[in-house]
Amino acid sequence: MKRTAALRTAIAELWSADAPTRAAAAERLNAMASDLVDIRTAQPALTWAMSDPDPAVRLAAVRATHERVMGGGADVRLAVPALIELAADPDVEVRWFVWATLDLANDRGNFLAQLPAVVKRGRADPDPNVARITKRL
Amino acid sequence: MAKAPSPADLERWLEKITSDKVPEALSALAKLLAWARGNPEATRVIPAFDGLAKTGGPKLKAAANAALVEIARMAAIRRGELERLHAFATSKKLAIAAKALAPGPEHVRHFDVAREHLQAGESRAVAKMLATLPAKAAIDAIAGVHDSAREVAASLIADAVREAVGHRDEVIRFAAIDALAICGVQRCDLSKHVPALIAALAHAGAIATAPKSTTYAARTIAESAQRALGHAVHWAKPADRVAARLREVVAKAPRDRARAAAWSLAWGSARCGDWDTIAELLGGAPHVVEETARALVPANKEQLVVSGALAAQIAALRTSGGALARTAAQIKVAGGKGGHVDPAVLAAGLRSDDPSEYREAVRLLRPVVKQAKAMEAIVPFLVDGLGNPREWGVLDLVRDSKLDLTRWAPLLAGMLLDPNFEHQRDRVRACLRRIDTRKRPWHALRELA
Repeated sequence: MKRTAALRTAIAELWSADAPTRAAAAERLNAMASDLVDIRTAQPALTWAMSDPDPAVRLAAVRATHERVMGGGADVRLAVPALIELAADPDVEVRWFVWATLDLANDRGNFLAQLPAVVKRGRADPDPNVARITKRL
Repeated sequence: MAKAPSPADLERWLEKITSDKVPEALSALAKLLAWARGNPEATRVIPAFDGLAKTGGPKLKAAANAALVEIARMAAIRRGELERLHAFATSKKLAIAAKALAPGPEHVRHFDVAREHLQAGESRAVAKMLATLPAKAAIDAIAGVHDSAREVAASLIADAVREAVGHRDEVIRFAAIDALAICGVQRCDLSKHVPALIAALAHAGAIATAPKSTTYAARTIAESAQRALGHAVHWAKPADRVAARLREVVAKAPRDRARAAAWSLAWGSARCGDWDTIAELLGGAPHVVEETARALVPANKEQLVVSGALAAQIAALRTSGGALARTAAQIKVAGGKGGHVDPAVLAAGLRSDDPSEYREAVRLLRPVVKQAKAMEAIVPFLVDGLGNPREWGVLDLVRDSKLDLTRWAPLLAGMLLDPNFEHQRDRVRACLRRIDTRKRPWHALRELA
């Protein structure tokens, strides 16, 4: 599959030594996904970015993944374990996008049924918006 | 069949077939052919007959070709197997005769039974055949093993020939060790065969002292054992144990066996990028240095990606003079005089949309795989290379590396859920086995795949 230069550049910049550059790259991928550009080849790098030490990068990576499944119906099961680890992120916006993505991804296999302890912690999330998603699971 | 001649008789006849006196040469050839009829060791005379078929006068050429065809017909070895077991026999007529052979029903029986056992996963049944059948029948059976080598799991082949490496018959010993070398090519873990393979290196001693024509079997057994041991260094788990065993042989065994072991250790170490071992061998005794240099000469145009220090060691060999300098001149080190290439330059192809560039990058990175710092530097390329799940070279590199895979764990676990990576699950699991994931919240998901 021949990728556009913009996609290739964004993937490469996810590895920049500079955190704002990494976050900006993930945001560009988010924008591409909402334009229904196929960014599946970026998913391994986005998944890796979910454990980035910078919170802005983590958030942007989760949002891009969420946009892939929300906007394009993509299969993001590759990112599921990384998302589960982010379910305990201190940033509530991250947690909301994590659970929103897991909710959609779960339609492809109900893997959350194997993780009752994780779901239980999600239901006990102090943020009501997050808890509203997890209570549906 | 004529009474078995003594080894001295055979030697004398093999000398005489190269005589300038044509009647004497023809007589020796006829005696050798008479001895060879029905003899499982018949293939020993092939090199000599082959040479005569190429260089003899018209009468000798004709007689030698006819003898080669007859040996091919008599040999209890299936068509095509003759070529594999005796790859050096370049006579076209021999190859044609082997292809034209229609094996008799008895030959087919043992050959086919061995194949059927292997396809049913019954490697021990084949091992029993090889141990208990008469030599001719066992040769048929091991020909069946070779024939199956690329159809069944390499581990089954290795298990089937495990005891046959010590068989009383030389052809079967060679065929068994050659089968292990084929298994090594298919990345089978040969670590439990190492003692028998090291014992087979003892044949290497015969190479230096005996005439070429009579050491065919010894040479090929030792060479096959060397190759199999080289693969064992590359693929055995844990690899260090095989390397340690070979180091002992290099240090303590008689020179010929030490040389053979040095070649195997160097060849296997170069394949997995263990340049520390290469540097150590290049600092050893002269015969060890010679074999190490020989092992580093590539079969193709492949360049070695080594440190500057090792490149300098290799460059110094080129000025040492004699055969060693000529051997060292054939070793290709990437990066020219400096000898050091940034692994990121090699890894760039992992981001390419062109499958051939991708695969070339994987190939170039093979020698780097055990170099921890170099592999850490190219993690971005490795992760991006996973964006093409149709290719699995990256996972092979990750699996064989010494990378700390802790941060890789969620991505690897995700590959077990993603159907695009279904055909790579064994590789993924091999990577995950290096990490303790029990404390990860998604640990239970590993069971879903």
